[in-house]
Amino acid sequence: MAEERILQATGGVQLNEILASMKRNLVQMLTISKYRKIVLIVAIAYVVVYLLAIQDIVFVADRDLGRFNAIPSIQILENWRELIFRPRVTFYWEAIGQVFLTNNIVVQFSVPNILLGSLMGTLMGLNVAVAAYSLSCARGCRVRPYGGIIGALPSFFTGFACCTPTFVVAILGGNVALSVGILSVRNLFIPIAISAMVLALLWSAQKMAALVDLASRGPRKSLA
Amino acid sequence: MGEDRGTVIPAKKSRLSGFSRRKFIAASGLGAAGILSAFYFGSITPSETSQSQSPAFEEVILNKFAKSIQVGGPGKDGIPPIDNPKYLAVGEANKILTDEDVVFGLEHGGVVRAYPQIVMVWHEIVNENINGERISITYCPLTGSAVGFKGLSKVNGEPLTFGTSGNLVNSNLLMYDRQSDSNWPQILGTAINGLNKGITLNHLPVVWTTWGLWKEVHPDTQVLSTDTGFVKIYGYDPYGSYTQDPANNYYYRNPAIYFPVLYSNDRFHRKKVVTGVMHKGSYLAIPKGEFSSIQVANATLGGDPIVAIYDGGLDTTRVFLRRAAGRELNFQISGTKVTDIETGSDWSLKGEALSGRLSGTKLTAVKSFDVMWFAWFAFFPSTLVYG
Repeated sequence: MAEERILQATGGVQLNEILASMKRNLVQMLTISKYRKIVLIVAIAYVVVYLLAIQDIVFVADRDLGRFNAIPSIQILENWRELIFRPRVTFYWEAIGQVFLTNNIVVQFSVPNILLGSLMGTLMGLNVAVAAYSLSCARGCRVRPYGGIIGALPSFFTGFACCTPTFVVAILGGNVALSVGILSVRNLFIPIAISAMVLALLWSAQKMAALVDLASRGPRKSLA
Repeated sequence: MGEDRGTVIPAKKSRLSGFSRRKFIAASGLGAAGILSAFYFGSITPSETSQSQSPAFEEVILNKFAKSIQVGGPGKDGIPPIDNPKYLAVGEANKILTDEDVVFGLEHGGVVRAYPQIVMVWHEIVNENINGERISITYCPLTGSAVGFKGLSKVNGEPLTFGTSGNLVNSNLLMYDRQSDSNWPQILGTAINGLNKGITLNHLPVVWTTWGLWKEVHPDTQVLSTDTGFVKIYGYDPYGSYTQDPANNYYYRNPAIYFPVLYSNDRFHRKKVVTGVMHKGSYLAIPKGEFSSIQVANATLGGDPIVAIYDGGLDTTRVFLRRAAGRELNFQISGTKVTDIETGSDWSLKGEALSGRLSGTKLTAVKSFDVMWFAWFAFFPSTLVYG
């Protein structure tokens, strides 16, 4: 029954055919240097913004960190093996090293935080690249990346400075009701962000697959 | 303080109209400058925390605190306590601390240590072993309170050590003990749930002062090192700063609080620092800034005579029972010289008789620590206020 419904919904095309077509077109897109660069640049930008949001990258305006550390310097904990997967809170782990770049800028290294940020950054990059890829198609078939970008926003609300989430201090300005309300659903932010970006990517890739298929039936147009 | 100087009054006079002043107690015959002229024992609410000592009533209060536990964000030990503290000598500490930096000073068992606020803000608890005695130094940045504790678990009689639960009560650090997993609000110092529920920890006096003042008084002090076993941005305080431009004090001076509290009162700015005093189920708040010019206050709290003495050398207030050699004493201060009126003995700011008939006598310390007004009131709405 379920298969029948899918066949009806897709005009008789098998689901696995759609997925295969999506995958094929995503891979095809990534063979083009321009779109690989888009994925890479967006992913890196996302990771930087994410690490800023969770305070793994910190700008300290009012203190001279040089009093505490040589500048520049790198610190790696001797006991990093014990702490590498030690969570501070769900989806947020302890740093095992840090780099003091200047008297006011420090970058902390937490392997899981960087991996998680990279995963979400890659999803964001793919969303943007697919949207850019579709721009070379007919205007009516273009894919917009808003779903993927908006879906990423909850991921920026995960960092904790101390007792208090960064966003409570920086954005909500100490609004008790808002901070308590958001804290109660905070653990869902990362799953929501990843789900939203995956769904947006699937939707975009499916649409892209359809229009590429359409284009292949008519006069061919370069997508590069 | 003006005309009010030298009086202790409930936190909010206006609500006293409906409340019996039957417990009014006059602090009698205290003529010296800065001595309390009157003492009201009242509360603005039916006094849940200070007027009943019955086990059943305490159970109700503890349950109320337990029900108000609020998720603070980090997980259990997400703010990692320091279990193997290392120390610096003054010379090394001078390289990282400025004279204005806040430190929490401890004198205990012949050991003198300073715990820099800019290190403690990342850990909140240091589990210490001083001469074989387990104690914990705790700090809550959200309520501006630093308290030392020691205690035994009633489960197995073992010394208690603490971790951060990641939760809060009245915006205050909620510790958990590793022996029974019971929860302890730092300001309350009493377990509100678990197998140790109802146990109250012993306080150790921790002085909230500055590095410059502390090292002058204690040139041989040890200082908590940043070598904690964790990577933290020591020197950077995510809540702002106690010493820098007011624009950066976005928590410590800002009236905003991030988490709900059970009781609130607008007598003072929410973040105003008071010295909170607790004794036999009664509570007193002494506004810190104002008291520096008053210096000595004789009062009665929980039915016992107490004296608060300002120590200008460390910018802190100490509170003692003003009873020695079987008699009640009244203190006065002249310059930096503290004298009791009854025997004329001279006393140190730490409550030790230096000369006179009572020489060698030591006053008993009363539990007290600096804390933000909103948090003190949230726990003890029946608090009295000196002013």
